[in-house]
Amino acid sequence: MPLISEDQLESELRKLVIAHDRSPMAVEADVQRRVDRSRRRRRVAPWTAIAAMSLGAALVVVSRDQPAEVIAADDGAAFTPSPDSTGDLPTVDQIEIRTTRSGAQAIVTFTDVLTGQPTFTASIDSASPDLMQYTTQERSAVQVCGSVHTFNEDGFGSVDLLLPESQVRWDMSMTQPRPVYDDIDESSPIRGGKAVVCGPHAGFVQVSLWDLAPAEASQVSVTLSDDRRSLVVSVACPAPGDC
Amino acid sequence: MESSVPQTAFHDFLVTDYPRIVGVVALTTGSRMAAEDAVHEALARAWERRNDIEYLNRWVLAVALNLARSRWRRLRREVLQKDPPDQPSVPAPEAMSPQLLNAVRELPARQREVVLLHYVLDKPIREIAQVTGLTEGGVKHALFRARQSLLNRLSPTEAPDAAHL
Repeated sequence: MPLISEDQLESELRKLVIAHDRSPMAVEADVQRRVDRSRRRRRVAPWTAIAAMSLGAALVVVSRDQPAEVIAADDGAAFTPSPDSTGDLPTVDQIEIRTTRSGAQAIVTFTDVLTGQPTFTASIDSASPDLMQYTTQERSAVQVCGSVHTFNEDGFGSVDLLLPESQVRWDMSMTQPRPVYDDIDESSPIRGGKAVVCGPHAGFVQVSLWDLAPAEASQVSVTLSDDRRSLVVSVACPAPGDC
Repeated sequence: MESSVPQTAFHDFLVTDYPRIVGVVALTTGSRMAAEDAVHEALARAWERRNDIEYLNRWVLAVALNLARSRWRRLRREVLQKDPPDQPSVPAPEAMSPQLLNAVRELPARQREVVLLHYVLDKPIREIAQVTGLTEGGVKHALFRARQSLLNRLSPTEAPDAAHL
């Protein structure tokens, strides 16, 4: 049994907070600089948007297998354009990632109805190129279209949708991520989560959903929406406080 | 700063709350620089929304933790295997127990936040629930598990060099 008391624990924890050596004036000056910078940004924002739209038309050069990233929460990143041609196949249209106190949900919506039901496969390596499948990956080795990524420390693993290239395409030049968190107060807790779309690679378009919650297969379900246009990925927290 | 009343509140915050909040955010993320950046950015945003904020302390803490989580997530999220791992940048003060620091670092992120908010910032369960987005039951559960983990890690039977505790 532990022999230290709770009071001792509290006392020791307080010692971990290092005495701060910044003067309030120095902090205030830095905060003021940020306020000024933010105001300047707001003044030039409309002109920046116009310039970006003009430039955007000329800068659409991305390799076919290059992952495009959709970052939820306040990261605010946008899809990267892809030169893929969509043809008549359902195309990834948008991805929403929502976090709640009990878990997370990602909704991947397509431009047209999907055929088939998503099924679980134990690993990417054993996935069938003819089936719409999903799997989970440990944080120590997340395969994304041939690259292996790792998460440090508290990072969670991934939930991965593997969509046959014969059934699905992605064409990011047509899409913009829907802001997921713009309707909540800025001080509300967020957990983010991230979507990486890439491929086709080894016969699949891969939608890799990172960092939502512990990506254990038993806590993940993937279903097709009633209108067959969305894949709904639900990730449950194993227990309160564990997400 | 422009308005006299908010200026007073902000000045008070810098003197009384700022050091401990930066310290807690630093322990949460493992990076002192990231913690300062997050708290300063939260303060700048708070200044611009000062008419809408009821409790400056709570608002800045919540936004700073959000920013720090987000930044930390960006830093850690895709380290290719060939890259060296990130090194934590919280310096160890003289009085610190390295064992306790390691134990805190090894807690799941949510438990780490909860235990630091509770023990270091003296936040009540209800306020921790508001800041973290957990239910009050979830906070209690996380606190219980964190406390158990820390006490077990620091008990002499498992950690002989923790005798100074």
